[in-house]
Amino acid sequence: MATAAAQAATPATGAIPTLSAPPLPREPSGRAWVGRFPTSASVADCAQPFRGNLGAFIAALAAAGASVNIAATLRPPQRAYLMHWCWSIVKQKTDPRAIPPLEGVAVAWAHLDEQGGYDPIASLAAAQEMVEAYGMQALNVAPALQSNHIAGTAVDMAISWTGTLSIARRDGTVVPIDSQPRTGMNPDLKAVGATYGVIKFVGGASDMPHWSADGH
Amino acid sequence: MAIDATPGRRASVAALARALAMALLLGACAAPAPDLAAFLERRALCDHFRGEVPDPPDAQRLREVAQQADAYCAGTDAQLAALRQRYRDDPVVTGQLAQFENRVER
Repeated sequence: MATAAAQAATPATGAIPTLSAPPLPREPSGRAWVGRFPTSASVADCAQPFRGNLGAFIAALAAAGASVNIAATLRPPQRAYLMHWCWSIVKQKTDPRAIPPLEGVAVAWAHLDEQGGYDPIASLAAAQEMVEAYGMQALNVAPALQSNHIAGTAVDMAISWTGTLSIARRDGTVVPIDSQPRTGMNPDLKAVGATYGVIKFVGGASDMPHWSADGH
Repeated sequence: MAIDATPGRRASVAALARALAMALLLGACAAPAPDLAAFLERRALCDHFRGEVPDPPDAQRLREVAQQADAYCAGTDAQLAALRQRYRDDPVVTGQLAQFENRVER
């Protein structure tokens, strides 16, 4: 099957050729894109100053004997772009030809047929493949294009400990935490996290592992 | 039925009418505020969960995110459009609403 690359590379009639770099060849959308730009679980991929703040908070937790298991930090914007637009083609019937490009993601949302014409059925099928591979069939809202995770200023992490947690605030003073629960939902631990600039999600128990630079 | 039109009675009726008009005016001014505040909070939570879709395969987390997104997002596209219309002459509220995407629901 032809791709949109040929279409993109064909100058409009009467257009004056320029010396700018030719457009990158575009790869048709489809399942192969889903494994690219994965979510990170590394503090090193966060943006400063959140990276330093989170690293210091986790070091304090570790020094106090808490267990910390990070599930997600940075969700690359390229990943968000791919998830958002494949979902939008399938669920909102967005025209694949109208999707804005994103630098660094040479995906051709609009597939072409053998004659070089736009193939809406192949375009939709490829987007459907991606939605299924991402596991988003039952998702009723568009994945976000912007968030604290995408900006590198959020973390999803499970925290637990046994007994009393004696943990240092940012200023070095040690706080004994013997209240419940012994998880990241502990209000005393939230207060300690805030001294590091790592703020527990403001939405309560609806997102228990989430911390960020501003609580969102 | 005879109408009591004494000066004292007329003054009482006028005072009552002024009080009623004031109450209606205050009510009209105050009514939209809770709608806006509730919307801003709810749509922010909606947008939060739209940013929490995990990488596959993580069916449990995806299910949690989808449920929360449904709870906070349902109906907000129409509410956003209605609020933009209601506050079209208010630059402060228009600015607050500008941060939100027009359409996030299927």
